[in-house]
Amino acid sequence: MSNRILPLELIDKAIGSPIWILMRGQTELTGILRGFDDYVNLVLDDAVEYSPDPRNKSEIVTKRLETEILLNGNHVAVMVPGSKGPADSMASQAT
Amino acid sequence: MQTAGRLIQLSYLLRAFTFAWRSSRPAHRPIIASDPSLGGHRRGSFEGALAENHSAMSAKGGRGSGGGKRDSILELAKLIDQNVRVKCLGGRELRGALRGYDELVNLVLDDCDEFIRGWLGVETRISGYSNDPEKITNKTRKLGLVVIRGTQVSLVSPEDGTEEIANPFLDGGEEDGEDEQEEE
Repeated sequence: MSNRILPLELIDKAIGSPIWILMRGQTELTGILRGFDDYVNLVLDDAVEYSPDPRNKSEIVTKRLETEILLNGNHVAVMVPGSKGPADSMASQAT
Repeated sequence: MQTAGRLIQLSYLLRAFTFAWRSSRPAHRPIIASDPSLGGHRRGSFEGALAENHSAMSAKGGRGSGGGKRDSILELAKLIDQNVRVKCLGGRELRGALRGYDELVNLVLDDCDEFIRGWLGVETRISGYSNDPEKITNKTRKLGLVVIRGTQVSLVSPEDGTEEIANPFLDGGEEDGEDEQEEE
């Protein structure tokens, strides 16, 4: 296969569809990708944030963010286009 | 009296000689001790390396330090379609088939799994692992086709080249707990 996929092209194709973002620490977000820039700052719609509860480390806090958000690309580590998020993958945690 | 004159003559000769010699050398070649035209026998390793470096650099057209546009120390083209392990800065570890990359080391991985660390509420209750985000496990969760940000990548290694070995640091064992090698 001589044609390799360019990462930012894949993100570009994902504009308009749901995306799941894994941040550098333990935080994850899902939302509909509206756009991004050279630094991969992201604009997400209908975003939901999953983060560990600072008081009780084994609990996950789910925050529904009502408006469009601008997510700073500084700590974005992994992006899964077309995925609905942790609920999606925890189900298949059989390995 | 004569010797003084002779000395002066000799010094002029010497100066003329060195001037002619220096101007006969091509300008861009520096004078190095190991240069064959000097007839010097001494070839210290440093000068030898320097000479080789010069010829290598001019032969390859200035690659390496001068730099072409896409020169990376990591040849990701070799790893395309292979299974690779990627470690991220925050401690995440992922594994998948490398489908694409760019010069900033953003990566596209297919059939990607993420190794689970000890914090997630559901997993720890099920598997009984302690709530330690430092402790990587062998359990994975499926992610699928992912893009990994190059700014967060700390390691990319092919799975084929690695194997799990016994912990070499436990033999006499007073070292503080070293982490085992993973992967197979």
